[in-house]
Amino acid sequence: MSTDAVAVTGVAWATGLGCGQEPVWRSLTEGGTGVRPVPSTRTLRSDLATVVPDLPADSAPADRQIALTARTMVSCLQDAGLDPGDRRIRAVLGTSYGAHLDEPDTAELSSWATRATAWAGLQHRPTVVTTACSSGSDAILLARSLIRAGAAEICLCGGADILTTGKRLGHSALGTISPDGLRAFDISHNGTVLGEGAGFLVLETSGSARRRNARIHGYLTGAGSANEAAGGVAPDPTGHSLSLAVHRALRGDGTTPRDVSVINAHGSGTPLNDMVEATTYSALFGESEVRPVIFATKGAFGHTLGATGALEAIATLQALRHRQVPPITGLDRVLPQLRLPIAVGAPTPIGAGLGLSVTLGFGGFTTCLAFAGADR
Amino acid sequence: MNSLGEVDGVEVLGRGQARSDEQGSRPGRPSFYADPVSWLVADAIGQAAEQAGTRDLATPAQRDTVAVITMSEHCTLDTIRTLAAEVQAGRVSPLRFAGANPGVVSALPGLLLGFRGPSLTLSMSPSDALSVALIVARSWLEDGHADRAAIAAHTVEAGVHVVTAAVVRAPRSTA
Repeated sequence: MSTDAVAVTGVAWATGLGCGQEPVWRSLTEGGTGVRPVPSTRTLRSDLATVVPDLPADSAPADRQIALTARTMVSCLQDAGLDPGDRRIRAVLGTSYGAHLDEPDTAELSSWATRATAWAGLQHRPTVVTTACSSGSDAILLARSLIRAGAAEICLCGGADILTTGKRLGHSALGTISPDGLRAFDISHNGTVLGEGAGFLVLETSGSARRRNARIHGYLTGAGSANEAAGGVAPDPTGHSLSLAVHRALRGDGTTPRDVSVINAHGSGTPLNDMVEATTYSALFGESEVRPVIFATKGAFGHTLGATGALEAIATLQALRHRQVPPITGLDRVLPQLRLPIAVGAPTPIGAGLGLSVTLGFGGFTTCLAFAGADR
Repeated sequence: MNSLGEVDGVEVLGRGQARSDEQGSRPGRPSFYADPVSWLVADAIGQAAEQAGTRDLATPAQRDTVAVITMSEHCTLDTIRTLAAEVQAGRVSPLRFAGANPGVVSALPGLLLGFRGPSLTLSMSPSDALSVALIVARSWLEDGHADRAAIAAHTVEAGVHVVTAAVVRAPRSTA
């Protein structure tokens, strides 16, 4: 294990499938999905979406964003065996639009995070990240930098994003919403489905984890990002930036593509994103002796935007722990450009190795996190 | 940002500043919208990059290693508020929706200048964010993910948007 490796000692997620760590994973592996019709008073491209159970639907959007964030952060700290009042903990939070499109009086973009961390009982003001659909991943990347630099001993990091009318209208107008469901990497894919969720991880130095005898979920061995510099909402069709992000994530631990056993893809179900991921992963890993297995969770969780990177990081850790990945919801006939094993119809076993979690965000924010299992 | 050169761990190669009260008209792009703050950030970073000799890098490989970090509590709030009014009316502009993404303040400079290094937007005041931005920039420089980093700080002073920017690199050894 490299000295660069940062231990993951706490995880928590709130998803359209529920909030329990293992129950949600079981539901994923059984092919469950949280996608269902979610009525709106507005005209949308589709009413399909996911919502987090037990999050009051009639609360103001800002209150829902803060409640979702704070509750999931507290669950994560409980999982890590940490008291929110522990002054060693620094929070790094990400979101895309959060509730801002639906709250005309928003005065500061960081106030949701400041209020959520205060509600959760944390002692320091948070660091706040916004890189569209890579916000959750970049919060984790940033927390890793703080820990490796010695600026923090323990970081609580991740993302949260509620489902709002503004986001549903915006993505409907953009045409990124599927009219009939999310089918990542399927030849019939035609768009995404929005959802809400939150995911948080506790990261700390291996020394800190050892000293307090913390349970270790796995290790964050690397993190890399690249901007696509290609356009506002569409990915770089060459996949060059995605490739850069993957190589940068692997460089952190001296590892190579041959060490990767599983990739949790962005898998948004939009044709351009899917195609870029399919061709890039095939080029990067297609010649490996043991090729990594591809999976994706947005068909079950919906596209949770600023939360998705954190949710997918947790799913990657779960895959490494259980040595299998869940089937990709909605996938039946795989894109011929994808020349790697992919989870179709049933849970798929994976070998030993690293897990990558990849996000592609509007604005070209491409981020890749590399994880090793606790038993590495 | 004026104190950036005094911070250990990075060498400042160039600086720039852009203000909303000094902006001339800007050539538009068909089917493209980005919040005005992102254009200011791009202007300030462009100036800093020019001074640093980073603006017109010869090869794609060089442009792959320029990182961008922007700090702003405000980011695209002006466009977000416009969109929020549209949401109440039940119809939003897709162009504005895409260009209101707060992260775009770091994305547009990359798009205009071709920088494909790591990029990050910290949606918080530069006074709170600067130490974090420098830590991240240093980690990218030390890990070889970037050779140079453009760091921009945006504030609103008496209704005027001000962006200051610097292009930095890891200090060269004198040994």
